[in-house]
Amino acid sequence: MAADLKLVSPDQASAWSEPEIKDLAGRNPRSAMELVIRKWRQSLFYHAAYIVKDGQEAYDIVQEVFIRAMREKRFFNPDFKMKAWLFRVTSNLCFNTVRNRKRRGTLLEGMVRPEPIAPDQLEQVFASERRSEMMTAMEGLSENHREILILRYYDDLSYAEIADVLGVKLGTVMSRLSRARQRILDVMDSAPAA
Amino acid sequence: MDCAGLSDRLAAYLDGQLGSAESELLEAHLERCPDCVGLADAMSGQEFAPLTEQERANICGAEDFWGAMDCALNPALEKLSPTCATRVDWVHRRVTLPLPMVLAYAAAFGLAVIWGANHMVRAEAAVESAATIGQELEQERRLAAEPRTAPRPQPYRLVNHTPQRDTF
Repeated sequence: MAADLKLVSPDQASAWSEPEIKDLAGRNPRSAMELVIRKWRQSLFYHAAYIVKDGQEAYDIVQEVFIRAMREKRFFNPDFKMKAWLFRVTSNLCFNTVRNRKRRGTLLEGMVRPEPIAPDQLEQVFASERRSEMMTAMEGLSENHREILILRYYDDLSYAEIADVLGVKLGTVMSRLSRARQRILDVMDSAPAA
Repeated sequence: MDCAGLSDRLAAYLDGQLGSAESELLEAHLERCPDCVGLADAMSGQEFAPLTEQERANICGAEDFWGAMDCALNPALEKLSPTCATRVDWVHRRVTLPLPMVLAYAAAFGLAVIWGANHMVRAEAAVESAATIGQELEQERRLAAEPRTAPRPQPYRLVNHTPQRDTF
């Protein structure tokens, strides 16, 4: 059993499949959860960062997701889809954060925020010329469209995995993705005029 | 396939996720619909530009990037440890009760002791009385079993002291 989270390397964790982790959880739930954290925290961090555009908030959200995973009694059940659950909870927390930020945006402007973890790198990466236009255009989309575009083109999830995360059928994933991409075209076309 | 059907499946087609039958239908529609060709061209030109592995590594690969999260999650992980779960601190567990509850327990205990003592006295009296009754019954049974020894009293002789009419 790994005595500490640092002893499980990301490479080791990514080699474990969901059924193997569930099998391990029957004998040692702590090690299984350590593997889950190691395996998915980077993907979840970037998924959150694409939505909230803030490294510190994304970091806190991922941490909260894993705490919720530890409280979730069904998490290691054989028919439980761990990856889909983790991405779904991350998305929900991220969009809640964005909504709250919008609601009290002016209120927080003057407040001192904690020292961010990786703001410079994230902002720099997101603001690069080849990305900024697309990232800005995505701001104008609905939450459903933003989420499905991020899951597909930034988190690189398959259509089947996206269907699991969103709890919809494969055909719905295809049509929603198409509409989201068409909406992006509309937003980008209307942007210069605005 | 019509234009609406194509626009629903175009992203999947461009991602290579559409089945061969649907792809053929879509391509057949594209051959005869310039509007849909324009849409397909525009969509295929979209560049989402996700972070590269190098960029991801630059951000998350920083030394002790996950240190704060490890520290925050380790206490929760400890509770999942099987050895920790079985080693419940029965010895070190502090049990605190509010004073009214302690008084209530003490009163209930006192009442139980009094009730028990009362019942013990009554039970002893019942045993004693049962023993006495048993002795009396035994004596009666013995008396009934013995033959009568007392002499029969002499029968009375009837004497008529009434004066006869003729005697006057």
